[in-house]
Amino acid sequence: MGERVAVILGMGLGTYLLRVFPLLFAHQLSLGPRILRWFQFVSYAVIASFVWFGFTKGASPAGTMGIRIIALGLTILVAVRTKNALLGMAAGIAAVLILARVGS
Amino acid sequence: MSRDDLASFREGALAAIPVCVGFFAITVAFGIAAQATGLPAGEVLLMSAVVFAAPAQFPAIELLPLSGQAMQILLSTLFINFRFAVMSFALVPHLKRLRTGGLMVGAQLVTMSTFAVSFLRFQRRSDHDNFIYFLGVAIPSYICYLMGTVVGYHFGVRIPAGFDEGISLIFPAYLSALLAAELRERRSIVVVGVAFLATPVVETLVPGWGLILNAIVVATAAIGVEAWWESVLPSS
Repeated sequence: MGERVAVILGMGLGTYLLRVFPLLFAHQLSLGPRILRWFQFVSYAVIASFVWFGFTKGASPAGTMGIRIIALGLTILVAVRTKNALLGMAAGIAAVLILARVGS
Repeated sequence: MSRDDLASFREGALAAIPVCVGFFAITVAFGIAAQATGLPAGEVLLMSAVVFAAPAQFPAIELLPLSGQAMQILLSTLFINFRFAVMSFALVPHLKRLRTGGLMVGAQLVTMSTFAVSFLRFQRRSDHDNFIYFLGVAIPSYICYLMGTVVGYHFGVRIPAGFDEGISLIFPAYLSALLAAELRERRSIVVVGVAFLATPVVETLVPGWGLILNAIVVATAAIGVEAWWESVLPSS
């Protein structure tokens, strides 16, 4: 038990250091506008990649993939039209639930 | 806490509702899986509390009951969670005025979802209340994360059949809706589109690194193109 707790605390410490070091020390670096712009692009790209993983994880091409693509399209369409992210999300999730039920 | 701070915290907490639902669903599944491996409840909850990163926790609970796996667990945790370093870097310009103590507490709450919701708000409106807004997003999310772990472990509540597909898509749907609703700048929209389409290619080439490597490659290429474009058309 002691070893397992030590491993869990080690996982937590390692993860915490990854989170905290940039926050504590990055401001000491003089980050130029180009570097800040790069971080802005990296952030957008990470979020976009995460969306790709989230929408494709566990989906089979012949099964739920088509439904998920429709849901993603509807989510973006509603969010762009209404400028409301919650409404966009609700439309996408509703589409998945309804289309999955219709298809089953 | 001033009235303005309360309003910022509330704004963050409202934006975190989908994150909370998603976290709860994920950690219920984590709690069920952890209980099945025979790990004690205290250790499972401790892991959720100190790691606060489900993608690293799921493989760890499979390996933890086996002996001699400590180094593998620790290294895989560092690799899987490396993305947090990039996210923390990206938050630095928006948390400039914060004291060290605040940063040290807030750091524990940086996850993909709390980062994404906060970062997109900071792009729209970056102000002195950024950290309070971040806490408004992160603290309820953290509580939901721990609650889901406990509920999954002790009660084994399963998501009703037919709803699991919808619940698993809450995060990505919310983030894609946030991007669609918030993004205005054309170049950033191009970066998002290219990153989205390039992810499966990079993930195929370097399995397990699609998320962060793809982001670094796309952002670097975008900066290069932007610099070239500005050198060609200095007035643009």
